[in-house]
Amino acid sequence: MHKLLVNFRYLETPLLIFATLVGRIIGGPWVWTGVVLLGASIIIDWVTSVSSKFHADPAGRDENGDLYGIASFLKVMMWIQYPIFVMLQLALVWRMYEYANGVAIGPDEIFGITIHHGLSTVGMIGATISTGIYLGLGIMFGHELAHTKGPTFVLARWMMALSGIAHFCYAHVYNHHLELGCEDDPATSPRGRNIYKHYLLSHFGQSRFLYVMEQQRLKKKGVPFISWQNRWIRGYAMSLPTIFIFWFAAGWIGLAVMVGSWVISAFELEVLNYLEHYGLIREKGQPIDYHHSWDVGESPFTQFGFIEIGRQADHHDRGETHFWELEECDAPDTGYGYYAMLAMLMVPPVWEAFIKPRLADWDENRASEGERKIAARMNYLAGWHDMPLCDKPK
Amino acid sequence: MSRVQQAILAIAVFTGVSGYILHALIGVSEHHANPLWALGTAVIFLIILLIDVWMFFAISGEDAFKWDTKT
Repeated sequence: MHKLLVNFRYLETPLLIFATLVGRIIGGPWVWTGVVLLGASIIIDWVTSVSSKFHADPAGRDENGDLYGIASFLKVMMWIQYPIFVMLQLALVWRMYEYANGVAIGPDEIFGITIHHGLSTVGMIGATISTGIYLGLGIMFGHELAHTKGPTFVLARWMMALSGIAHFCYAHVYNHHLELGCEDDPATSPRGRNIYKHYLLSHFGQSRFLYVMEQQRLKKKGVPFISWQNRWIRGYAMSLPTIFIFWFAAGWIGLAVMVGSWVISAFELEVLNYLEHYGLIREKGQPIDYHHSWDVGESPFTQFGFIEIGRQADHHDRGETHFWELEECDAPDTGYGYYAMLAMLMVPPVWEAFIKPRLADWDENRASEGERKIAARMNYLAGWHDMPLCDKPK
Repeated sequence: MSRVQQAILAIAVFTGVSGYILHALIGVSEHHANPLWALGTAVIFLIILLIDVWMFFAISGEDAFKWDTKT
């Protein structure tokens, strides 16, 4: 029984995604399902973060040392997210088609279920935001699959391409996992940078990494940059079916809705990058250690919903390890789940007030001597003159 | 104006002009429900996206991603 529960708990986000899909199909006020679920998730995550009653243990092993995680079940769970995301997008396309063609708003009975046809402008906005939110949260499955090889890596690329960010798979594995904590990794946010600026620079920075990687790789092979072998171009081309279907269904309105859902889902990806390493510093050339990642407390809502991505330090120590094998380790910990922190970082001054004491503690108790020197400079550049370490750059 | 801001402005202008040409001069929106037209237009949108991203790299430069510089 315990083994089943350990595995079923990872259905939290797939169920929320499914509920959003159902909301889209039923229509009417239900198109806002994704937005409401996100709001509820923030509240639940906050409560489970601050209350000592909740503690999310890793999936772990039984008394014989065998993993509780059932690999076949959890792998299939991740793979089937792709068709579910496609259905989520198609449901949005359907609603958008109705909106663009002025289908009359009203209920209809189909197999005894009330389906609301047509959509108001406000409803269209709700449907777009809801889809963007849950396409974005689905990115964690793409992330997990990006750490595999062969067909499942390609599946990760297709999953990301639904949001126009297929470059992430290469940039994450070959850039972020090797360079985190210093400026060679665009996904690590330096101190003082707000989420909105980080979104822009991290998004383009990761794409740029693959652009340069392909430039160098293809040059060595004597292949022109503009070629089908170019994985940067191919990644964007994987988004062609999405662009086509939105445009085909509703013209400019369709394109605007697609861009809206892409912006939201790509923003969520950068939120995760932001929260996982914000302000942490590593001397270039020094090994990556536990203290270069933020773990996120033991909120079950985050740990289960984000398939243990919150165990960042162990994930970076053992990048190829499946999420159900990750362990607790001695890493700096924000103490709050991702949903709770999302609410904070949307308001940059609130985020700074939250994270600065934790970074001051990191500087004092976890940083190496070299990292402390960089931290002092970064604190000055961020304008954080009230931090214990703060030196003007020479 | 920082180089990142210049890049965003250039992307906005290029995308806007491309959209105007596609809409007003070629009239792609009148044919979006035609599958062949829609596919061709989607490919053009994809090329515009690639050029937009490339423009960001080219204009903002490597310094945009450095920590010690104000972008």
